[in-house]
Amino acid sequence: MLSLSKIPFPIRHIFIEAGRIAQFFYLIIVDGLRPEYEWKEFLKQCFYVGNKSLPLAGVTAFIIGLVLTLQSRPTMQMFGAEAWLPAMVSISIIREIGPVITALICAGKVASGIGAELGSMRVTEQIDAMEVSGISPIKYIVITRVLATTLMLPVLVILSDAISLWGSYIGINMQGNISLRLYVMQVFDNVEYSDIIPSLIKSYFFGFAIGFVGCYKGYYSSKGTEGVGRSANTAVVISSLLIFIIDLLAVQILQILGII
Amino acid sequence: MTNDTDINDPETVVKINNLYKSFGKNEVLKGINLTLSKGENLVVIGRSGCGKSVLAKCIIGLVNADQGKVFLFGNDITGYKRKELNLLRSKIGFLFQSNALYDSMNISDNLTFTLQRREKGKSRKELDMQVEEVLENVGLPESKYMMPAELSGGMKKRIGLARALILKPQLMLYDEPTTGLDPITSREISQLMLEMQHAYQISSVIISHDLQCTRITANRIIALIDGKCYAGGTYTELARSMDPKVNSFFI
Repeated sequence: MLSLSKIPFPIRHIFIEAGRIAQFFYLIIVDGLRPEYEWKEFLKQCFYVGNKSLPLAGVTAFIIGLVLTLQSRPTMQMFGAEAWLPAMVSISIIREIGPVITALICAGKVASGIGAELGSMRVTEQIDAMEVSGISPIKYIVITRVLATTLMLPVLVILSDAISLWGSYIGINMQGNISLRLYVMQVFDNVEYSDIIPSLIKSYFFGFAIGFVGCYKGYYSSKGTEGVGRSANTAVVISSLLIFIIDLLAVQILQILGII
Repeated sequence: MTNDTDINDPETVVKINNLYKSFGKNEVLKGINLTLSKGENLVVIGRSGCGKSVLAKCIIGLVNADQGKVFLFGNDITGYKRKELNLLRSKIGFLFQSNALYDSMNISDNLTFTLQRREKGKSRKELDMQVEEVLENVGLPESKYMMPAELSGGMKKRIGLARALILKPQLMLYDEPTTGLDPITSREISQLMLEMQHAYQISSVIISHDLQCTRITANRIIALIDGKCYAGGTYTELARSMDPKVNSFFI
């Protein structure tokens, strides 16, 4: 029989990590379904993820909307398609740029915050203290954060999209003249439900990935303060990578379903 | 040494049979046997890294043993599921080496965090009364609304103790309760532990390498050397031991 110790460490590590991720996911589902929910902590986390991330996400969205408009205008002008600028920008923002940029901003701010917070709780034995007093740290710390990121990210995406479109409106008016009413009409004439709903659905997955990775990395943090820093760092890197992978899968699925 | 008849003895709070634990190739515990009786203070001494804290964590089920059995209040906890373990944990308090206070909560919330989840019917007023009582007992009545970051090391230890005591445990596990404290504060904490043992009728396992704490609190001492219970006895017996390995702890 093959001894586990004979398997090269990198391969063994992949299997161990995969097993631990599956176990962590299982614990979240099992504890999440069990009643006695931590509503107060959940609302606190929603406030942290939603309200505290909005300024950063909002400013980024505004700049993206403005810059995208300013940079697209010369090319559109070359083809005489300047009038299509609101439609082009709004579809780009709602379908792709809004959800991905907002998710990346949240990965940087929220996933690192969760990773560092849980990592610090792990190394200072606060998670152990919860466990020995018979309280599930998964229920109190992990589920509240994963749910908060999952539910708050689509809300942030909607707000960021709106702010981004506002930035685009200002961008159009910097070198031209269009009324707000006409701009809004052009946007809504070209944007369809098949643009909005899939982007919101994938935002839920982005949010889940951010919360899950942040919590997982923090929860299994080790090696003292160095480990806390590493947890925060890898939480950002992995959740950002996952956002792109989910985005890629979402596009493939939508194409297969014939939605885009 | 222990025998199987102790397990169902109501006077036996903790019984460990032939406990082994290793981390990778590092064998930490190599066949530990010990018994803790009701109302007794058992101090486990040993050099840093000899597995004292691992032993405490095995007792409460935070670390799973590789081999051997741990009996708590007559229940064999090896192989216990989380739910069953949590029922037993409600009878146990744990004072961590790092205190492990929840640093996002004030002291009052730290103390009531577990209590309000265990005793759901309690009103805020009742919880407040219990918090004030236990803070009075540990000598920090003014700290109720302070944050852990505002407290000194000694104060944090007292709050850690208060957090365990508010749940009225039958067994207390202290992991290095006086580490990092000055001798005066260390003595105060040791005396407080002793007072609390008498006031709340608690049995305790105290993991320590602080001689002063050991002398004040111990009814019985076990010296952990090379992952085994090398010697046992009262403070005086071990201090007078001619064995250099044991005697070295008391110099």
